Amino acid sequence: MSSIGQLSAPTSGSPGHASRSSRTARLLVLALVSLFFLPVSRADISKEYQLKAAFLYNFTKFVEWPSRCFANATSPITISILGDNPFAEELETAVRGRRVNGRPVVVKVIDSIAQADDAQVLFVAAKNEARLGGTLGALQQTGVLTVGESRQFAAMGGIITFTLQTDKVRFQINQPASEQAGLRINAQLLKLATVVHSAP
Amino acid sequence: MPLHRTAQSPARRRLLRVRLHLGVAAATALLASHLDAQTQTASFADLSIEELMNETVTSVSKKEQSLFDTPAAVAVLSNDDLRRSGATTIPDALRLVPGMDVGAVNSRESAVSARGFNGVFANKLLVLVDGRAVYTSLFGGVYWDLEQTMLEDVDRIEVIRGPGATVWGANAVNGVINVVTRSARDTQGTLLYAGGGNVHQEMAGGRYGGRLGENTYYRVFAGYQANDDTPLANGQSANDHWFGRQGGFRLDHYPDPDTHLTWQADATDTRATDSEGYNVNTLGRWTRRFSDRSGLEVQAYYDRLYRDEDNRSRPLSDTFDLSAHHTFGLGPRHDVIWGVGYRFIGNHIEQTTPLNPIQDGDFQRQLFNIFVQDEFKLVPDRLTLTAGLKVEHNDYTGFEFQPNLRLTFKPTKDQTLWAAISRAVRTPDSVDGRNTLGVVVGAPVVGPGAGLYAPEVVGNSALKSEVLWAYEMGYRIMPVKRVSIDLAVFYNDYSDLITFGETSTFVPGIPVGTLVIPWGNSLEGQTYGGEVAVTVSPTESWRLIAGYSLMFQQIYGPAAASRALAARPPAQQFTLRSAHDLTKRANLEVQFRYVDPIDGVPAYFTADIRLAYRLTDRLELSLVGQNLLDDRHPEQASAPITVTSEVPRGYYAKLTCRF
Repeated sequence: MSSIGQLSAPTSGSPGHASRSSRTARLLVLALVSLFFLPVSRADISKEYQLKAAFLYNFTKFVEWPSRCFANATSPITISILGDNPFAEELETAVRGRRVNGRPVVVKVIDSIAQADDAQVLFVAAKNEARLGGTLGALQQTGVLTVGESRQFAAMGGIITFTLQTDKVRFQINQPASEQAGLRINAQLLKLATVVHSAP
Repeated sequence: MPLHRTAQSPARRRLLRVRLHLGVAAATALLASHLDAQTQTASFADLSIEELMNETVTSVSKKEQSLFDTPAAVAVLSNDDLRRSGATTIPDALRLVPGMDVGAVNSRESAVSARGFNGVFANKLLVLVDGRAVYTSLFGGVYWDLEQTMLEDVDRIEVIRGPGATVWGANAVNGVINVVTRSARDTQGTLLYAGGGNVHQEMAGGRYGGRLGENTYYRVFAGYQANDDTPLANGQSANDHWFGRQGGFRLDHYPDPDTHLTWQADATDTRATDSEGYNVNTLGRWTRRFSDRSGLEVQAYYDRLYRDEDNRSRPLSDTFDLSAHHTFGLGPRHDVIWGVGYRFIGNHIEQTTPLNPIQDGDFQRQLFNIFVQDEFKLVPDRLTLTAGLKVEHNDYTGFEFQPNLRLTFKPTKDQTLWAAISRAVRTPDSVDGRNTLGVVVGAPVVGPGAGLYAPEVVGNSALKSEVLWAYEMGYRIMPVKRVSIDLAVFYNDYSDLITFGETSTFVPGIPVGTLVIPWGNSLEGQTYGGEVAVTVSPTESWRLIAGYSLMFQQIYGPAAASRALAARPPAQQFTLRSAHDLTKRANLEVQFRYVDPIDGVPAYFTADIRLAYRLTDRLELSLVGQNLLDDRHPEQASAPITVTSEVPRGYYAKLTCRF
């Protein structure tokens, strides 16, 4: 930090003949500077998964679940994460206190997909795919928005699959699979996705 | 927090100022940008899907890596940097880059250069927007008021200080600015903004991005701005208020994952009391990737530039440009890039003032070029040698050779040492290189026969190109994860610098004769110095960038030769930026800038500040203060046929809506 201290000198140096209003403005700036230079810390996870966590939260705004998927009008939207996960904590922080269509959003880490049937969203990271045993099974009919990130996941009939295009996150949506699950996906989201029509 | 502690104590302030004046021996430049993504992670959940799709996953360090390993003094301003800065114009945004020299000439015109030779007619900096040269060969420079690209859709501005002529061609002598806008795929959805203040009185614009079938994306955009008068040195209004408008579209088609087609077009106009003009252009580009190491790009554009200036002239210029380049691997250790280019420019210039008498206003120019560059991994991951040559032919000076040789050494993963030797030329433009027009540079003088003679600078078709041999070295290090340091030093040796005043003849006339002063290759000189930039991210949501540059200049030539185009640069410049996410919804940027005196202009020290608050997921309010530390200050010395005014303190507020 010593080099910063040295280099910051002219920022506080006075150019000599300062008018009164410029002095006021300078004080104002410095007051703001000192007020706001208070550090905020944050956990370190890869940016790719930070983005994917934000996508997951955003998806819930564009999906309509059948009413049977919720106990009542204010019961939460549950995002289940399969297996130990790089970003469950990040996602939890991101959604804390947020509501989508009047419902709070909660994050749950689960060990097997048997625990996912009361969730609205299930995310399966590629490294935890083995826990699926090659099938999404009954989840395909029960109104769970399944989200994954590999070709195998898409082939299993997962509804949304993240892809990487050069260095940006994209996603594809399997429309027949979403229909089979009884989900209605907003056209705005479909417009941004690569839509695939292969039946699950 | 050295910042606010030093701010309180005048004694310490003075001491530090003295230390600064002693100078950090070497100098400035840095990797301006890329830790920025880190500061943003806190607010990803606030972004819309479209915005998330625009974020790159390339971990910051990896992206930085390619910049980090580049054997040149390079910096990149990202979209995030631009948004946070509050800058409304490209020249103002360039002030963020350590080592760039930017000065406002008046409300509309800017002087932009790197490593010296700045002024309203700065002619050694090449500027491209999406691969289209906006440096005009008419007078060797850029009409900055016609560059109104909507900054919201700019992906990045790449800044190279030092020559880039082997790849970019002639006139990339002191630097290259490359403005790159986003693909239409990355600007889907609607964006609207509106704002206003005292200097930038009105600004409004919008963009809509949509999709035409599976793999084709488009956007249409339009923007408007109105700017107030600025004050002259005596406090009177310079009457230089102006407004500008831009509109256009961009189409991006991806027929398969390895092919990308782009077609774009836009029109821009600018209107002031004594000057107006427009630009229309259209560009097509086809890019094909064959493998990780090989690809082909073909690009064509058409550009029309028109200006009507009361105190200069009325040029109309049409440019057609065609270029292609091909990259391929040659064995495991050689990566080769080569390319060809052709440009045709048709010009028609009319007279608007006797100060710029037109002699021959109709003419054409043609340019051909071919270049090849090899990147040779002498020791993989350690030592790389890059050698390249561009051969260019132009109508005025014939063949020009622009080679470079660059060496990169990576002692460890977190350090890069580089060195380069390059030759670059500034080719004569249409004002100094042919009998296009004269420039009256002063009041009539008394000459032979006691008659009056108006001193008029005239073109010289015998001119040679200005030549630069540049010797550069640089060092980058990331000593710890959250700190990076970028240092570059240079020694530039110029010869055949073009100026006027050395020889002259008296041509009698009635009522006033002409003192004819031809342009000539009269000066030579050296500049040397360097730039250092230090980026520190104390936390994920806060980034500080400090930049310092130091340079000296010596110019030699006959005493009679004018030094106007080789004016003394500011010896030192200092910038400090703080980009800070205060909360998930609010961010604050503070910038301080200090610039040493230049001839006729005292040193100045000023600050900008921008506070942005996301009112809802779709709506952002930003409040910006610019040049806050004085009522007004000059940044450029007066120049012929130009109104030079001062920069006042400015404020504006802006609402941006994305959905």
